[in-house]
Amino acid sequence: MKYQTPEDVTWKNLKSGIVLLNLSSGEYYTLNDTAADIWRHAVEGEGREAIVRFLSETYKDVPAEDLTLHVEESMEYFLSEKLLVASAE
Amino acid sequence: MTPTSDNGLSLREKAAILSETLTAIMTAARFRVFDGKGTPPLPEVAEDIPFDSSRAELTADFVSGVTRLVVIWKRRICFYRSYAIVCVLRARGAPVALNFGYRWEGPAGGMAHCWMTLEGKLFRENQETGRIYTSLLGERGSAVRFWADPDNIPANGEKTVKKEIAQ
Repeated sequence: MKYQTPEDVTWKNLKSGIVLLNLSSGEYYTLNDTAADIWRHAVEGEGREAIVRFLSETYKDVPAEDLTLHVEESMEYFLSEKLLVASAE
Repeated sequence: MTPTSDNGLSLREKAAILSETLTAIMTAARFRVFDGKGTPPLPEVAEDIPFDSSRAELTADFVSGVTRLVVIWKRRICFYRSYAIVCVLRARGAPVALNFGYRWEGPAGGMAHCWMTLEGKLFRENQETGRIYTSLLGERGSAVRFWADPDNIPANGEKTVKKEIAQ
């Protein structure tokens, strides 16, 4: 499954980190480094498996199960907060 | 002849502005208490009324004074004052916008601020605000803008995602 940002969510890569904003609720979000990597790939339209593969290449010393769990948790959080929605495609 | 008070607004105008200010403050408070987040609706700019900058200042002064008297809890006073002034002035033809900014100050959180702009320039606001909240994150129509201080964004917090409410 692929994902996209709803119309009322915007994000910006600022010099010290990524900030997400829900324009409807006025809530701001910041991401840690790993979550920022997950976010960038998710908004580019990549699915969870592809994101885990990318993270495995970047974070070689982290067990694959941990990365999978981190991707799952982050994606569920993005979805629950309506920062991402499933893409129609 | 319409009686005027010492600040140049007629008593009739003051009564109308007082009523609109109280309505705006109640709307904002109700929105905060029951909805918990977001921004209450803002009126469209009345395009049939010519914008008069000196009248806008007088009106804003009066609304600000009323807000100081009514919003005794002081918490988020910048939001209540700005929201009330924006509502009253937009109804009088002034294209005032509401702005929200967030500044991260540490792992425990940061500081949200609310202010106004008139035709893109700070309106009744310290110039320091413009130097802090420099990154425009997004806009909702022409009435609401969201900003951030681009420095000191926490990138290594314990939580994967940290959520802040901008009000």
